[in-house]
Amino acid sequence: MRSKYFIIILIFFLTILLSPSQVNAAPTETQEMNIDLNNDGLLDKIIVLPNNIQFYRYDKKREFSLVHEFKYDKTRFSSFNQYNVINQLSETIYGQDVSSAFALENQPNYTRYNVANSIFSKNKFIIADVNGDNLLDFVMIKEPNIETSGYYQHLIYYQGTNVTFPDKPSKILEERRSSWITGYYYDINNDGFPEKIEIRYKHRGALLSDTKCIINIYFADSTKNRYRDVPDVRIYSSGVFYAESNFIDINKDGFPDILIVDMPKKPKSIEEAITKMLDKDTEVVLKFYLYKKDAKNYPAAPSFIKKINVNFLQDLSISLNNDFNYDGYKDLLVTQPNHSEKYLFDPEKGQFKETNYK
Amino acid sequence: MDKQIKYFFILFLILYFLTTSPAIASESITTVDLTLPYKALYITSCDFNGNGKKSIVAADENNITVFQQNNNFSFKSYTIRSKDKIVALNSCKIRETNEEIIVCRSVDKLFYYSPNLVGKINEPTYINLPKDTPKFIEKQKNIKNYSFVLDLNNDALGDIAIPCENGFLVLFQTESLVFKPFFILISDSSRDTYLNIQSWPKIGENAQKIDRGLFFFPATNIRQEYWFQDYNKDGLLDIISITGNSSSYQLGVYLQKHNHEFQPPKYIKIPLVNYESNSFASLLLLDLDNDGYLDIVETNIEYPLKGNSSFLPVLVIKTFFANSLFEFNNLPSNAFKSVFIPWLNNITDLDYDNNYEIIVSPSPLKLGAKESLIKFATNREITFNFGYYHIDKSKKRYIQYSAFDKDFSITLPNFADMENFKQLIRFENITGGKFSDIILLKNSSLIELTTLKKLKNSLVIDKCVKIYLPCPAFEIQIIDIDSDGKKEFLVLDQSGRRLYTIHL
Repeated sequence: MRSKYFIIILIFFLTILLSPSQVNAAPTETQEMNIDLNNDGLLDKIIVLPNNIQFYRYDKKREFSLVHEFKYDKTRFSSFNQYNVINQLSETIYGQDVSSAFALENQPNYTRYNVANSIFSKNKFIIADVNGDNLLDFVMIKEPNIETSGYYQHLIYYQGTNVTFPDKPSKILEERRSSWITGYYYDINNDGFPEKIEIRYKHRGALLSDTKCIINIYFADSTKNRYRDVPDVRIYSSGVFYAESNFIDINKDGFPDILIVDMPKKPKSIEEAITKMLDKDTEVVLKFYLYKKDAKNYPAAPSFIKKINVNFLQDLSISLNNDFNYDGYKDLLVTQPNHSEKYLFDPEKGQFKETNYK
Repeated sequence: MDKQIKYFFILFLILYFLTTSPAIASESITTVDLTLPYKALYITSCDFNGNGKKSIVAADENNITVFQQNNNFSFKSYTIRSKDKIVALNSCKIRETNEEIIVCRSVDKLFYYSPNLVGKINEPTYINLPKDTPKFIEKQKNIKNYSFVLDLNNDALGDIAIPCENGFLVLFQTESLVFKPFFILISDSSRDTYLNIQSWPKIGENAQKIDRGLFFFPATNIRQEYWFQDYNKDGLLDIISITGNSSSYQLGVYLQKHNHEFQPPKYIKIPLVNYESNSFASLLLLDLDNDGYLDIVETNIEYPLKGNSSFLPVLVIKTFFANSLFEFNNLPSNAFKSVFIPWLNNITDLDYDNNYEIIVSPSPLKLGAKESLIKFATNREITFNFGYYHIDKSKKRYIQYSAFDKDFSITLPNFADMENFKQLIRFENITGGKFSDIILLKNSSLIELTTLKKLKNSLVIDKCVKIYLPCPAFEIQIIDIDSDGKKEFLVLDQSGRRLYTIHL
């Protein structure tokens, strides 16, 4: 009996040690990731070497076998900074490079050299199910080459049977403004290919300022292997878009929904701004835009809103990826230190209930 | 989300806590206006003739302008063009008689300008570099000029040090205008390799999970941090490197020998907890008790709302005394807290007695003081004061505290000016007296100069004058332009095309 518990504990620790989230911590030249590439319940292995990426399949015989290798190029940047220790502290506080009005003094005791050598891969990589067949595909993203196309290139290698990948890309997608790494991309309409989502602001600031948020959604143009130039969906709203709590299917209709966070009553004076910041209960409005299945679109105005009160001086997180009552609908969790409020989704009313439990 | 709100809040407060107020008396000053035909990037002064009358030299990447000093605060200017792109410009002493030249660094060359028979500079002379010279590392874009000339071996001649990959190229000036190159390998570095894994897509229900989608890009960061300092007090500048992590750090001391070479590094492990390369901490090595051994001063920042009751960031300063040349106490002898005042040097020798004072300022605004915060925000004025701790050398502890009998007030000029706002308070002897002066740049156009005097054993305020600048300043240098023992202000205006010298 004891040995059974021992094995369970051992498996638990091994799972933690081998989980992909741990690999980022190891500062070695060769790094590994364990991930189930072919959805067979077994963790396969990816080894990242200084110049290539190796894919290993883990089979039922408990053996890893090399199935594919992708090569990549690296680039090196070196620069040095010379700074006065006193100035550095000031710049650290400001959070930006605000040089002292007074020139740097050449005092050896206070003057530091800081040399940074960074070696980056020229490409960036995605491992994800791009075509919706439950097998993880490989995407290599190339930076724009200004002399030729000026487009990001996404070289997509679809996974075949038994964790095999083609030598040539199955598909090449080009994009001018952002890559799948730098922008927001999500398969909104479940067609097996991610849409591009651009978030733009007018008068960008925190909740206290009069921030206007514009959400543009572009569908892929399959004829050109690019996203369309004109957005297919555009939403204007006041408030701020937070990525971590967005494009989550709240109402269980199979399509992701949008959340914008806003403070409706903006301060008009310094006194009011300070008072609002120091007040323990400041009203914040959560605006939800539920996807309209029939129109294949989002509404221009919020589908519903939810008012909450927060303390601005404390950390705040708004989470929608919860189902507290196991009804399949997402519930709202507002968390501040030593305090959280849960709001269940009411499917009949199509919004969150007014009452909450803590 | 929380970070954005907090940083906005903190920035709002910090920016609001800085600048001007009425001062006490107005100083009689002489101002000289100099015009440049381009926007200056680099400014220095140079005593071409060694007669104490320094020329002002300004440059951009392609032009050098010399303002030659005549009598009665007058200057005569001329501009020459450089065919090599200038990335830094320094003056360099070439004789014990104080004669100086202008040395320029381009991307991969070093060249200097010395005056011809009529006293003007014209053509550059290139300094010969060995064929196997390692590649010069580029400076970061955000630094304007930087110092690459320093007297490494205390022979009163300027030497040159250029950061290269894995070390320094140093050129010792062995005799006037003869530069002998050496390469110093600095092997100490902090190396981190990352995959930079994040979930993909970045939004949606699986945004926090990486088991069904992730993106990554491999990267290796190699960092080196080092500086020149006379570690063993033999008059020669040594090299000190620092490497470390959050739990401990290590100093590497490369002592300079008398033959222009450096010894292999001697490593000292320092088991302190708060230092991290590129972190918010700073570390200084200073001989606090004047016993011949450098001691450690470690400074960390506590942010507002993070464990302190101040609305302003707080500095935590700790001192660790040396027991011998390479051994330090593991525990701090003193720990001080001070509200953070931008660009204030908290460790300075105010009375030039070879003992450093620790400057502290109590927090003028505490968390929860909503009314005082609103009052300050409305009046745009904040008042703070300073004091200093003086060391008791026999006990190796800072015990004696003296507060300056003066309030320093700061007022924010305009909300719109915040972005270009630059604040300064500095201790430096510019009046030629026995003690440091306190120079406060109250806003971009006003300096408050406070002089100190000694009363019994303490420093007290002597007098305070205000100096109105002729323009909003972009850069200010303090130099003794006429070698009379008093320093002058050299002010570059915000257009970068006008220079002013201000003589007190």
